[in-house]
Amino acid sequence: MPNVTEARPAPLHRAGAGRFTRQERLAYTMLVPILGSIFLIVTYPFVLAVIQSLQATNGGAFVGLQNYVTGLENPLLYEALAATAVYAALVLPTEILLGLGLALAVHRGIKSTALRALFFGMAIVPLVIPPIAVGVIARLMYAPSYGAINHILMLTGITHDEINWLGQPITAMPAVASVDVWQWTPFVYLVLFSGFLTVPRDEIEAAQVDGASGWSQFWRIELYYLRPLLILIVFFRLADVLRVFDHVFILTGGGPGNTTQLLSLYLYRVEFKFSDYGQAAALAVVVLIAISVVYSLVTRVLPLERR
Amino acid sequence: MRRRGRRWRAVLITPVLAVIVVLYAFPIYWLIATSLKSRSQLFQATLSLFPEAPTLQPYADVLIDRGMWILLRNSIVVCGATVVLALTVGLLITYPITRLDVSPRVRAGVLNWALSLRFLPPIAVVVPYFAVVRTVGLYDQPLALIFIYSLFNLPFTIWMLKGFLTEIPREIEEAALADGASRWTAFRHILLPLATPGLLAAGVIVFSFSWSEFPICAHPDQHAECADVPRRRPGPGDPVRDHLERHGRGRDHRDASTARADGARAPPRGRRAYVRRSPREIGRTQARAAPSAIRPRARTAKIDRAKIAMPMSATVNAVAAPQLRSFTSW
Repeated sequence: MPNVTEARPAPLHRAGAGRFTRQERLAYTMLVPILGSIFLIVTYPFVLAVIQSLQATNGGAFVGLQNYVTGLENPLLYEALAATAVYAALVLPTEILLGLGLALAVHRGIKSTALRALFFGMAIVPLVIPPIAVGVIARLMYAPSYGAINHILMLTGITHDEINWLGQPITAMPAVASVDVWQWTPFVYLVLFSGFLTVPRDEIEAAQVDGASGWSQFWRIELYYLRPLLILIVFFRLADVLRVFDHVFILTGGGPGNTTQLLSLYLYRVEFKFSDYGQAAALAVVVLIAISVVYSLVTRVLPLERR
Repeated sequence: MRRRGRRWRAVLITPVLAVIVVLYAFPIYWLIATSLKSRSQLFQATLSLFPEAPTLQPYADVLIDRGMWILLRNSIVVCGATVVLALTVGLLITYPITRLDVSPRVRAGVLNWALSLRFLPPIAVVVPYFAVVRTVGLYDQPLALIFIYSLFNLPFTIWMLKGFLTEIPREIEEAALADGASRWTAFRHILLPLATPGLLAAGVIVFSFSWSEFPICAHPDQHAECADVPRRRPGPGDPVRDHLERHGRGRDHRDASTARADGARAPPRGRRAYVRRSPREIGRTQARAAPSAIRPRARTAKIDRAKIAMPMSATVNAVAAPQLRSFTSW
């Protein structure tokens, strides 16, 4: 569990009777109904999904764990998991290194406030474009015949034939990943750049007086202060990779073959292409359980909440 | 040493940054440039990097002729309501855990639980939610979307509000309480004004998150909820509608919306009813879809589906559609 051991002043009003102070009672009368109803809202569909996963898709007879077996036996599931892993392996390091590099470069190399504001403004843009629209922008870049990238490559004479970015297994995944990088590196940059600004000045100055080079300032001081932010970014981006859907859907729809069929696209496919609701529900249950296990492991390891 | 550092900076950092900025900004430029091109220019054999005769016609086409402004309005209404609901619920949860004495374990528990909600992939929960929404009778209504969006945005809201509220010293409020103010007065007149910047920031983020949402309202049987009014759906056995659905021609979205304006809701249909459309077709129409809440008419007229585009770039979708057909390999 994250360690929240913030000291609170002693309760102001001690109520005469009961285990709770007045403040605690007020707090719980506010919290319990609202958390309770949210809990119900969250769990009720989950219970429905569990029930559905135990029934046959046709007819709804009770079939036990049959849906789970067929779902987990399907090699497509593991292909989807592998694709998700490849996607994460492409996207996470690139975004974090690029975002960190950019933040460092701007922090050290650009002092003019106007330019910094310009970078800030530009970095906001992809974050407010809906992912599905990002997918459409990406199509304008990569699509055959009207894709801008091919057009420019041919104009400059680098290639003479069109490259089918989205139709070849080797290029499809990097193309899809590049879209994610394009959209989310600015986010990493924004978070880390503001992180650089919060590094205490006097520590940097003390290091400079002691003759520390720019690199060791970065490695020994700034990185130390950035660590919680980096952890947070990894955590949130990891959660996002599991949810990626929109731009992959628009760009390749999971193809060619199944090379870019990520987990969420696979779930979608089981539900709506194979119309196998029992299996889809079973997979959803498995995914939710797996995620909550991973989640509780991660929160145990990472000190998310410091303060 | 300093001078060397500065030279290194000038020689390396500036060009690298410039290249990155250009690469990064190009897609946005291209998007805008394409939206200003006329139709004939779009289909030219050689693409031009600059729109030769820039025109705002595509924007007028999409917003007015195709009635997209209604869809924009839907989005704004749904997202606005989501912001209000998420912030209210968020405050109801964060106020007690930050401003009142609760045990640290409760606080950590609530915060952790909130964060765990964020890890649900929407696609995995959309199926059960859909069933619930239908059971409760919110099916086909914006209200369902508002509830679901609020729920999905709650974790983020809670974490942001918690951050902002802990920044405000408790002493200020306690001083008011000591002067005889009630908790509500202290909250309303002391805490709320101080927390307004934080609330605004959280509101903006929640708004943009719900604005970007796609999988939930794209759910094949659910996207009608993105629409403005409760609408009648084509029953499964209606041959004329089926025909129109399949061919879509000769059907203007405006008469579609007047046909729906009677406000009657079809009885909840069985799950299987929509599967009669081949999944391939669903995939295609989905892929061609406009963003989030702005594509309600998808089921009624295919031609509309093809034409509905996003507000920011008028022509993009119309261009993308032919290629999308060959690409979605569902």
